[in-house]
Amino acid sequence: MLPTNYLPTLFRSTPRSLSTFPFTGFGLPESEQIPRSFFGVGDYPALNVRTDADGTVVTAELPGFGAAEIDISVEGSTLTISGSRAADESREGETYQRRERWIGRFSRSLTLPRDADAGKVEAGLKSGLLTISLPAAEEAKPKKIAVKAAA
Amino acid sequence: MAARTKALQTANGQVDKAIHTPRTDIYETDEAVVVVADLPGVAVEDLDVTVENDRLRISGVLGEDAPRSGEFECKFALSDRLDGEAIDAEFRNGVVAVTVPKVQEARARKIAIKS
Repeated sequence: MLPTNYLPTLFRSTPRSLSTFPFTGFGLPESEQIPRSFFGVGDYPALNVRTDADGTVVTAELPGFGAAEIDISVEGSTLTISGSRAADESREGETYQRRERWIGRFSRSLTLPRDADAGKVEAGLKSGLLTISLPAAEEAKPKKIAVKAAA
Repeated sequence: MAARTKALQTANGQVDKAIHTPRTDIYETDEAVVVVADLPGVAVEDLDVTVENDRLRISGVLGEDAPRSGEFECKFALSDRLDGEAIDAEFRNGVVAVTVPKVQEARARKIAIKS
């Protein structure tokens, strides 16, 4: 168990800077550094991609997002997850000591290992975890080749 | 991208398990300090917010299908200007917001100007 003075302390009498990772805004005070990627494209959100013969399942970490704030689009073999979240307006008058959670627009695309049947894609959001199931299009499923025994 | 990961190493150098650190925002209002932590995919029954000896601990267990599965944990020391007895925690959409009130003397007070 770490002694208490090694832990970040909330509301110390003398504020001490805590590093945030990742962040942009070199030279800005601690409270102004906000995680975001250049041009809104990067590696947020974290994804898991699982594929088998029947299709692909993608899970994404999107805590704090409602279903209305997320856009999912499938085009052939490309899946794009995007959306945006505004900084909490009500916080404007308050002081941030640390800011690591995502703010603003995000967009992440990936190439599916199997072309998806766009009509059968389903997505669900639970506790900030987005699960997208993309059943493979018929022509994209692996075909078993019969082996003929030679005479 | 990934949250900072602390790997626990056993004596023979084998990595035992990783404890992830959730992304957190900390902000201060006139009455309280609020810690907001991202814990995507955690079920409410797997989420723990505890205070012990002026130490606040937020932890949870993420399911297998989450991109990062396993234990999440973050800990903070509470200064004596915070009231560890009256902590409030709210969980929604995979985000937990823990409000720690300031003690009376530390709250912002408006001073009346006599003229």
